[in-house]
This record gives sequence, structure tokens and C-alpha cells, in this order.
Amino acid sequence: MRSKLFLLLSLLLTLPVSAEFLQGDSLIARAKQLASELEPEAHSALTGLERTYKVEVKDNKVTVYGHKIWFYPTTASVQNNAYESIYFNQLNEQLTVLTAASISPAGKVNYVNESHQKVIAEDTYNTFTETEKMIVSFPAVEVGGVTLIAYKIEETLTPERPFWSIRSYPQQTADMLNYSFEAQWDDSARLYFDNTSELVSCELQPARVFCQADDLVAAESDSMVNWGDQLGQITLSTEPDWQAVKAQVRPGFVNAIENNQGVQPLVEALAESADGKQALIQRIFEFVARDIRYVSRSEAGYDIVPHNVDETIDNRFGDCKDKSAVLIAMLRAIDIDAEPVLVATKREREDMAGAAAVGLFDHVVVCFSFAGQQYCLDPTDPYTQWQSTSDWIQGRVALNLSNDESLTTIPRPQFRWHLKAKSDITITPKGGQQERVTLTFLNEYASLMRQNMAGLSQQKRLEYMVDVYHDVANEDAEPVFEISGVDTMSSYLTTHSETTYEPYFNPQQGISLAENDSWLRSELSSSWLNNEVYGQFYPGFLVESEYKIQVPHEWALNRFPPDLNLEHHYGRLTRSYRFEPGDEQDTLHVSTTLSMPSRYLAVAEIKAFNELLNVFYKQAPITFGHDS
Amino acid sequence: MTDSPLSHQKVAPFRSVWLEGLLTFITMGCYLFVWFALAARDCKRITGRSFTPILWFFVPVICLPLPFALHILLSTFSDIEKERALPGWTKGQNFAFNGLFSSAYIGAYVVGEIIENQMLQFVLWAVAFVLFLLLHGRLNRIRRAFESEPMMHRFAGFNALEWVVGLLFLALWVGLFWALGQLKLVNADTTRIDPGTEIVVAEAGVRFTVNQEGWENVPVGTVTDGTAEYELRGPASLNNMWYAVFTYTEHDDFNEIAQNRYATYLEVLPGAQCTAARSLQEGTDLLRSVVSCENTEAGDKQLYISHLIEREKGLVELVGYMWVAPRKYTQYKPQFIKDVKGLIADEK
Repeated sequence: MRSKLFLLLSLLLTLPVSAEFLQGDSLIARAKQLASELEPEAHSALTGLERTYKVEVKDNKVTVYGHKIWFYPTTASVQNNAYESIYFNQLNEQLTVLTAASISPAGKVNYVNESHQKVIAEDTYNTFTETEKMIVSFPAVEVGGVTLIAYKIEETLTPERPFWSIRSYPQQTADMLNYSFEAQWDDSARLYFDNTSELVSCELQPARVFCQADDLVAAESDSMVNWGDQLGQITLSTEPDWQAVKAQVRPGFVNAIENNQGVQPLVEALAESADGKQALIQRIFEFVARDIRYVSRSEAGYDIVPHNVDETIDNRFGDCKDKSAVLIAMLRAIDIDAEPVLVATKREREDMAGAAAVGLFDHVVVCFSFAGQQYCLDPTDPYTQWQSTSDWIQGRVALNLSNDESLTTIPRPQFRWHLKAKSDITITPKGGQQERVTLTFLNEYASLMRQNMAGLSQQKRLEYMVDVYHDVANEDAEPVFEISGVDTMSSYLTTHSETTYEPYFNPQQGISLAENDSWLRSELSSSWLNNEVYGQFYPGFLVESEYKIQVPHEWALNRFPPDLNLEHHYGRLTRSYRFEPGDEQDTLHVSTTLSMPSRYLAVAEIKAFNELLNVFYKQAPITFGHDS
Repeated sequence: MTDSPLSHQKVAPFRSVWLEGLLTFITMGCYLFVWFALAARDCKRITGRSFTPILWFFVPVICLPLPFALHILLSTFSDIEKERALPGWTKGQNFAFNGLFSSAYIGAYVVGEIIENQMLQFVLWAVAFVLFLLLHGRLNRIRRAFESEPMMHRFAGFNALEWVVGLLFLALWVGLFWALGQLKLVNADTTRIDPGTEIVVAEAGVRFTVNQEGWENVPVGTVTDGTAEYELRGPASLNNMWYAVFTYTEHDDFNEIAQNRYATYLEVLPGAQCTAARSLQEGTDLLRSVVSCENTEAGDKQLYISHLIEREKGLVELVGYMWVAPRKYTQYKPQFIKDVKGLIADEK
């Protein structure tokens, strides 16, 4: 008898468990049951009672069933979370909401109708595919109540679009009591599975996978998080590896680039005004980035396929795929072996990419080698000079379509932000000062400033810089600015300002002055990192500050700023001075360099990093005077 | 009965070597000036040669002409001895005496001022003193051959002026020894420090190494106003030289203290040239500051140096001060600064 019971128990334990997808009355009954079993006082924030996915692939048709049940213990959870977002691609996927309703604490069911649903476009710029989001707003949600939704997304795999993938994050920013994911497929489409979450247990069988987890605690939020890099995920894809992903995407580019009759005349025309190959690359990139405007063009058949190069040139518009194809064709016309590179703009960790899938990527750029240097150009970026890398693709997970390499990342510069500040200050005998400041923003920093000012009128640009001056240097000053380099794609953008300060100290009472080195200080304060849970990438700062301070000779300066040589493995702050006595005016030259190279900082390092910034910040003022 | 000198003027009377030695010793060698002047005067009176006694007064003071002056004096002694058939020294003995005495006398000065070896200096003075006694014995022998008359009446071997000066010097000696005795009582805690000793100031949580000779630990308040945690005084042969360790609380601001040091040194050292530098302590984000200012005042050199170290809680500082003659400054400064910069803060 005992052995029979053991056999039965063993049989039960080894039986495959499945995710039970529910809809209609079954789902409502399940929601009520889960809500009744809940101890409301044990939950003080939005809590997921159940989240289930069931994927079926049969005869080249993929159907994803999902249901979710949420519990709302507080007013805040009702106010902020009483809706559901479902992402899908309208071009090839069909979304059907099967059941959606709220249940009051008293048990009253309020169903969602069509007026509670709306579809909005997601990712309108720099995107590879056109993703939509259906937002379902649950009616009559009350504190202590629950919501539920069941839906299905269907897609048919075709010879033109034979790939498909799904990505599910078991852990989210709310507690989840029950999570399950099940997929099964037939011979029409083999699926490949990957799980990077340690919180779920998965069972992989031939043509089937099942994952399950209970009592998933909400992921901690933070100041800056790429959730895709931080949270474990389940991925299911039709592609066995990254080479297969390349094989899906590359033919579209090859075909688009082959149609390039209009490229050669264009390149020749641009070559007339370019002196040398570098200048020609610059002209070509400017043409693609600026003269071909960005228009999202991922209509049917073109979600991963670019339009023909000639068509894009004729239209003078296109999306990232189209512009990349044109740029590649033009660069190849001048014998530069440029290649398309897929980019996941929200991913920085290759190890968290999961199973190989086209859907990981949302962008494409152009990379090539020139004079021994690797460059990656984003043709949708009309502000960044070609030798710099657009900041939003730096360090992002990438896949070069033209080589055998697996996933990689777009190179990052040592310093994303590079600023040169040159200040020429004349202090008057009465204690006022004339200040002339030249700021040179370089590389990606020039790009950022250009982006901030490009859309403004000349007057608004000047006002913008005055606002920046007020934030950084002195809010009461009235600087007069000149700006150059906004409307070009050069590697620098320069501003000149002149400011007059009325006497602010009485030289008769002693000479003891401190010049804040405001631009350096400002960059330091903007470098503070705020993450407390997750590591964070620091993009790198280089500030070169030069001060020329002229004072009346009779002040007889004898106290000068201390030399600084603050060397740390996170960065370096150095300062030296030179004093030149004159007949009427003495001149103090002060050179300061702040160098904080880019680096990834584990969360345990962030406090120490910020403390170093604080030390540097306190040393920034340039102190000098006369003591006797 | 003796013959009168050539000039018929009388020479100084005989005085025993021991009394002469006592007078020289008690006047700390000052009597030598008078001795040389009187010796020259008597040589002039005996030989009629053109000695200018007042100039001979300065011979022991200036030092360098000593070998030449001594050569003249000894030759004159030999001539007198020869003329009077007195037992005397040969030319070789004169030459050897001159060499020994001049070397010991000048050497004592050199050793005292430049080499600063007090033991060697003492030995050289002793040699010069003994040789002087020999020389005085020779002069006594010559003076006995001539009619003598004291400048003033002598009581117990010394005239009134010599008694007064001698007693004054004696009082000075007594006073000096009394003061030294007092100082020794006050500095009962004073400890000599051997060069290369690592000084550990446990109460301040710092250590540093003193690499120069002549340093000693002194009670707090000896060289500062008493706010220091620990004090060291430099070699006694120098005008002033000290180290002091100060501590500050975590509420004291590093920048403020470093800058205050800079400003203060400029105030107390008129016309000072200063350097100031800040760096991070290796492997930390804690600061260190070194401020040093130096000036020249009344021919002497002064130097203030501050080495301020930031700790997790509070600050600690080693301040060094030296006020010395330029030559000593060049000699002492490099290691003085190096020792201050060698301050190490341990976790307190």
C-alpha cells in the first residue's frame, strides 16, 4: 500500500505542469478566488495575483495568450496603475482583448468596453519597427478591488517574415504572486528558448517549455535603470543564433543598397566642395543626416527592410534603415567599406540579451574603419560630427550584419563630454570686474548643445545661453553672448560672453578673492550619480579651464591658488598657476584640468565616486589675495 | 739686576702660567685679546720694532691673520732670546708651535661654525689653551729678563681691573650654570632623539621620522602656545627650529585651515615666498596640503611649513619652523622639509 502511494506521488510530481490560460467567467471566478484568499493587510502596494502566458505555434501561426489579475490595496495604486498596456505590432500582429473587467471589493464585476481601449504609437523616432501600445483603462476600480484582463496576439509566419520572438520579464516593479509561462510548437516553426531569470524554474521538453514562479518580489526601482539589462527574462525565438538573425535582416539591406543609380552623381557633386577624403565623409554624412529628413517608414514589408536607396534619395526622407542604406551606398562609392549594424538602444549588456532574436533591436547605424579607427555613424542624428558617436548608441548592444561576429557593443569614447572654458577677467581697482568667457563644447557635447539650440531662433539661442550662464555662473549677471557652430555639424560649438560686474568688494578692506571656476564646478555637479540599487555607467568628462585674471599692480598679490594634483583611479583634477607682474596690472594665469574617464560603476562604488566628485568640487575655487 | 729694555720702558711683570690660564678660562678666552696686545707692546718696548699693540688686540678675533702674526711674534721672541742669551725655541719649534696653535685655534672656529661637532671643537680649544700656556711661559721667561712694572697695582696676582672683569665673568658663569640648571629642571621630560627615529604620536594618530641630529622632545607649550599635541625642538646650536603636531576636529574645514596657514605665514614672514600644493592621499579621496613660506629677515632665513592631512574624522597637521643663519639654512632645509612631508596619518 505504501509503495503504491509513493508511486502515485512520484507520478504526480513528474507529470508536466501547464500554465492555465483563462478567460471569460473562468477568469472572473479565478480572480475572485485569488482575491478572497488574499490577506489585504499584507499588501500595501499594487500586487499581481496572477500573470500567465501561453504560446502556441501551429501551422506557422503563432498565438500568444495572456491573462493578468491585479489587486489594488491603496488609492495610489488605483490612481497610478488601474490600466493595462499591451504592446504589439499592428503590421503583422492581431491583438484581441478577450476579457477585461474590474471587480469591486463587494464582488461587482464592471466590464471593459471598446471606449475604454485605445491604441497609440510607441517609439516614433530612431525605431527599427513600428510598435503600438493598446491601453486598456479599467472602469470602476476601487481600493481593495481587482482588475483582470485576458487577450491574445496572433501572427502568421510567412516566407517574407519567417521570424518571431517573445520576451517576458517574470519580475516586475510590483509583487507578483503567481507567474507562469508555457510554450509549445509543432514542426512548422522550431522555437529556441533562453532564460536569464534566477527567480523562475523552467522545464524544457521537446517542442514545449514551461516556467513557473511564486511570490515574486517587486524589483527595486532606481534613478536610472535599463530594465532589460537588470531583470532576468524568458526569451523564445524562431532564430537559433545571431548569425540567423543577420541572415534575416541582411538581404533587405543588400537589395536596397544595390539600387543606387542616384548615388554616384550625388557623391561627385559633394566631392567638388570637399577637400580630401575626411572632408568628403563629412559632406556625405551631413547630406544623409541633414538633407534627408527622418520619417518613420516601417509600413508592411519594410519593418526590417529599407527602401531602395534611389527612392530614399528621391524622396529626401526615410527612417534609420533607409538613411543607413543611403549612407552605406555613398560611403562605398568612395571605397569605404561601411556596414549596417543593428542596435538595441535600450540594452547595454550582451549577457542579458537572451535568445537570438530580431526583436531585440530597434535601430540601425553604419559602422566602418577609416585610417585605422572604427567609426559608427547614426544617420538619424543631424547634430553629431561623424568622428563622434551619437550618445544614445554609445555602449549599446549591437550586431554587425556583415561579419561573423556575435553580439558586440558600440564603442564608447573615453570622455563623452568635453568642454574647454577660457576666462579672461580684469578686476578693476574699485572691486568690479570685466569678464570675457569663451566656451568650446567638443564632440558629443557640441552635439548636445547643438541639439538644444538648433530649433531655436537666434534670439532664443542667446536667451538659452544666458539661462545656462545664470544656472552655472551667476543668476544676477547680464552676459552678452555670441554663438557659433550651431548650424554646422562640426566637432565643436563655441560661445563667447562678455559680462560686467559692478564692484562687489572693497579693495581697501583687503584683497582675498575666490573665483569659483564655475563651468568646471557645474560639470562636476552634473556628474553626480543617483543610483542606489543598480550599477550605472558614467559617460566621462574632460574639462579644460584656463583663467587669465588681471588685477591692479598695487594690490601686490602674494597668495596664489594652491597647485592641485588630485589623482584618483576614478579621475584626476590638476591645477597650476603662473604669475606675471606688470607695470600697471599683474596677471595671474591658472590652468585646471578635470579628467573623469568613462567607466561602469557598480552600485557599491557610486558613493565613493560621488564623494570624490565632492572633493573635487570643493577644490574648484581659485583663491588668491594679498596677506601681510 | 736686569737690563732695561731698549726703549727704557718697562715690560709687564711675570705672572704664573696658572693665573694667566685661570684668567683666560674665566673670561672665556677674551683675555687672549689683551694678552696679544700686551705681548706686542712688550716686544715693541724691548726691540723697538714697529708693533702696533692695538692691532694685535684683534688678532685672535679675526683668526685668519693669526698664523702670520704668530710668526712675527715668535720670531721676535727668538730674537730677544738670542740677544739676551735666554733659553728659547728653534725656528723649527717656532714653526711647529705656530702650525699647531693656529690649526687648533682656527680649527675650533671652523668646527664650531661649519661642521658643528661640539666634541671636536672642545678638544681643539683645549689643545689651543695648553699651547697658549706654553707660549705664556716663554713670554714670562723673556719678561723676567727685563725690568717690569704692572699697569696697575696687583692684589694676589691680578690688578683691580682684572679682578672686576674676572668677578663679572664669574658671576656670568654662575648665572649661566644656574639658568641651565633651571632649564634642565623644566625640561625634565626632554628626550634626545637619534637621527632616523620614527616619532609616533599616538594621541594624534600620526608618525614621522626625524632624520637630523640634535632634536629633542620637549613639553607641549615649549615652542607653541600650548595648543599642539606634541612638540620637538631642533639643535640647540641653531637660533630656533621646531616641529609641532596639531589635531583638528571633523568640524574643522580642510580648505579653511590650509588657507589660513598660507595667510598666516605671509603675515608673520614679511615678504615671504610661498608654495602651496594639495594632493590626494594614495588610494583614497582624502586630501593632504603642504604650505611652505620662507623669507630673509635681518640676514637670517625663516621657514614655516605645514603638512595638513585629512582623515575620515578630523584633520592632523605637522608644522615645522626654522630660523637660522643662511649657511645653516641651506644645510638644514632639505631634510627639514622632507621630514615634515613624511608625516603619515594612522587611523585614530
